Amino acid sequence: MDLDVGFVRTRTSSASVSPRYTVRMSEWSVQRIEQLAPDSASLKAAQGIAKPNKWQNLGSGEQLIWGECQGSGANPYQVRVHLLDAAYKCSCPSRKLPCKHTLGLLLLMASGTPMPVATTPGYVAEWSANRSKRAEARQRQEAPEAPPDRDAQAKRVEKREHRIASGLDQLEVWLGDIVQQGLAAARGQPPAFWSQMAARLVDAQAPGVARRVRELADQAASATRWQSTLLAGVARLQLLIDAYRNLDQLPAELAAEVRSLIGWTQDQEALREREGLRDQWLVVGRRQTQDEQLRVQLTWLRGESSARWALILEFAVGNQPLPANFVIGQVLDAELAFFEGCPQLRALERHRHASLPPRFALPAPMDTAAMQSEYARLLAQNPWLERWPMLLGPVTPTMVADRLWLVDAAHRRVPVVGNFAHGWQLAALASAGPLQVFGEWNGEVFDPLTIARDAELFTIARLGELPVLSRVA
Amino acid sequence: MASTASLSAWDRLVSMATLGTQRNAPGTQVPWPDPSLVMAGEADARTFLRAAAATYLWQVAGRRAAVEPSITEAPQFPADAAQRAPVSEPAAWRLARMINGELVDLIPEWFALADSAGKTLPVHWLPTVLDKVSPELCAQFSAVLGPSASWLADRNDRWRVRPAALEPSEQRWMEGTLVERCADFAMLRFRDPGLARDWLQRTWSTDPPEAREAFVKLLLSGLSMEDEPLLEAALDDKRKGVRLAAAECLARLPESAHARRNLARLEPLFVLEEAKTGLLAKFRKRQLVVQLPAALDKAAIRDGVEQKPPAQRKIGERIFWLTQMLSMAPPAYWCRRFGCDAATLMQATTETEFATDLLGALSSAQMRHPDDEWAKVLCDAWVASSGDAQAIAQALAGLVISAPAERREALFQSVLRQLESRDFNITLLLMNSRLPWTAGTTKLALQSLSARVRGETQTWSHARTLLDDWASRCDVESAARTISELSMTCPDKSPWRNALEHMTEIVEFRATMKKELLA
Repeated sequence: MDLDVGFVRTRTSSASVSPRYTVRMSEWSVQRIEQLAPDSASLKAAQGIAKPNKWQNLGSGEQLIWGECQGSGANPYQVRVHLLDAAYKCSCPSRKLPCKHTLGLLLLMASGTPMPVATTPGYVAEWSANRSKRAEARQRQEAPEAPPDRDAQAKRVEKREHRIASGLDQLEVWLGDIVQQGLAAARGQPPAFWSQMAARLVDAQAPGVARRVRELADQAASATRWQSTLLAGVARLQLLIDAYRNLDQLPAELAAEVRSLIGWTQDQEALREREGLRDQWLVVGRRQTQDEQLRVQLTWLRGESSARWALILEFAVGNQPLPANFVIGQVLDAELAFFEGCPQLRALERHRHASLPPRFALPAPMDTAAMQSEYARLLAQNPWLERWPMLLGPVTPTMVADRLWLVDAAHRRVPVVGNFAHGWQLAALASAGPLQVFGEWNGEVFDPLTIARDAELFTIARLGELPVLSRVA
Repeated sequence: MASTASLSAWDRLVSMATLGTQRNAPGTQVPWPDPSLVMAGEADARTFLRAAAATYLWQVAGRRAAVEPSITEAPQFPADAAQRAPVSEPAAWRLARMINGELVDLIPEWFALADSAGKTLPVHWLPTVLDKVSPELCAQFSAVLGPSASWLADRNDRWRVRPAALEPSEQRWMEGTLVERCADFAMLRFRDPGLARDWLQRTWSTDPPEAREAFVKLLLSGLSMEDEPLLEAALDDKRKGVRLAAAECLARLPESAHARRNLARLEPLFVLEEAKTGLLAKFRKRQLVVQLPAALDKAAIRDGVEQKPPAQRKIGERIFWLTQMLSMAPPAYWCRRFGCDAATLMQATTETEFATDLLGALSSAQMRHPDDEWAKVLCDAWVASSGDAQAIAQALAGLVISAPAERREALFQSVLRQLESRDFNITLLLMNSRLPWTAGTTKLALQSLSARVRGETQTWSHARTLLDDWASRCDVESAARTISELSMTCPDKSPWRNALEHMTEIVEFRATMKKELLA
């Protein structure tokens, strides 16, 4: 299924899969399975089903597990799950995906229940075969049957360029008015003042710019240092207008970055065609955001030998579960295709070769000074840079003036984001020694996501509303 | 590197922009971070914004945290060599789930299991627990929280690991609130009953009546003949509650003058016929002749005998007086007096016209003066009686709990089995009993449940409440073995089905919890 989500276009089925790949069942922790559940009712029902006596003919082999579960129908439901890419099918009529039987089978496996049947039953083999057929069909489609109408396409692009240009012209006048009238006057404007401009930019097919204009409204309304934040926001927009008008004078990487900042999307299929970067990728951190109906999952990977960062974005709409393709601490021998950008960060998993033994540690961290220099270097490449993944340590979380700071060995400190709910958990963990922290740094505040101490890895998590620090194992 | 000039340049730009460039025309004064960047041309808003963008980036890129040796790291907690083993991560997650609202009532059990397994909570879970679990529970299981919890609690005012008041304080006794004084008094009475009595005597004349009542009630623990003078005096108190509480204490002191007075009143009212001699002796039972008191004198009222029966009780005044007196005297006394065993006397009692009232009175007496022989005999009598089921269950629960700790379980089991064999619904007894469930109790309970589940078709509105209670009290291992079978044999349409499924969930939750913590 293709999701068209604003400026991001993505495909829910991700990497292609090597047949020789071996999945260790232990990679499927209960938490990972819980994450798959479409809602808590399904999970609860699944927990009820995850009992050996409710199942017959449990079996496993070749990355697959299967079993038959007696439900309310006459025939038992046939459930099969592919462990590598988390594909599944159940013969029950439930419209929830995955259904309780699928989750139940996974939970059963996670609890260590033996799945002794080794001969693949017909319904599993058939499904597997269909899946490979579909994958082949998709590959064939990738060489499009009818050549695209290049003229029409060029016309569309030209039309959009035109709209964007006029949208940016309007924006420039609007920005100019703001500084002429004064930021104080802008702060007094009703919400419509900002949302109308944002809407005009959406019409002008520049959704990336529209997003930044909406953010200006928040910056104007923020409590502290709003003048400074608002001016920075307005000034960087002017810089973006200037850059887009002079796109041909920019280095190719930066030009691509500017185009995506404006809201041009990159063709993911074309991206998949290109050769990617194969490395051993450590899954370092994860963050989820919710924006009305759309939930976004950001997963940070770090290449072992390339020392590069990769950001995987995954989306779910409404009650749809977010995929659980990556587990913190997992090491993947995989090939990633990077989106164009400056510096390149966002990536797709193009091919997964194998899952290596997990590692419950973070790569070598930097101290505060090195992190700030690194950020300055990145800012010089991309003046619109916002959050960037950083490894900071060893640091001790310390409360100074009612705020949580991370203090390094050289007694330099950086503030942690204001709404951070896990301060005491961090302090408790640091009671036995300094921490290494993975998180996002935006030049001003640090947002911790993963913590390492003494060969143990912890993630910032929530159970309902309850902030918890969870050890990964 | 950040220079003060560029920082202040940004500040100047911000203040210009705040007021609006229209009002203070920037002209040539627009500050740029570096002279090489200055743009020629008109000084319009666009140029101003470009200068602002450059200055902003300059400023952010140049930002470096200063070295601040004054920020001292929090002293680290000294690692304890003799640390307990940590509970596993899944076990801690389960606790978090309960804190988050799932089966909240099982939290104390989690702690008790962790404590008995000699385990401690990993530090990263402590803030969650200290934040959400009651301070009393945290204090009770401070060993599970470990020394790091105290370290953390020292740094957060909202958290408490130790109970607030550890030592009874004489000052608080003189000046504190009634709640504080009761807490101190109870603790002191537990440790040093004599000293507690001294404290009480010191303030007795000035204590308000409700305080006197509360303290006399607390005298029940650590009670001895040394308390007699104080209690005897309290029988003349102005407040009825104080008088009754004192009589209650005195009734439990068989050596007291109060007890002698009570027996003197009772003596003439009971006569057990002498055992017959001769050939037919075996077949003739001894008969108990009961005489009701003719009147209630002031001395008896002073000793705690109430004149009027409560309105809802259908009982004659005179038999009501008799039962009150009888319930104060040790049942064993009657065996000595009549030279017979408890069973003989019980048998004789059953044959009088006051059988039920006397059985109740003797049971109350047994709870005040526990006696092994009587415990058994009275339980048997209740099991054999045909009164109100709820009353029978209540009486049996009281008798069992008043038996000496080491006999309780055996007594309870025998009562349960006898009831079961008489087709009595043991649910009522299980509901009334506060005894923890052993494997045996659990087995019997589930057996009776199984029969009901198969037999009953009408909806019983309390099924869910009842089974939830059972699920959290039963012996989890023996329950886990049989419960899933039970819920599978339960007919689909049975009114018990939902309740049973929920019970199964709780039992399985507890079973897994135990496995996780003891593993």
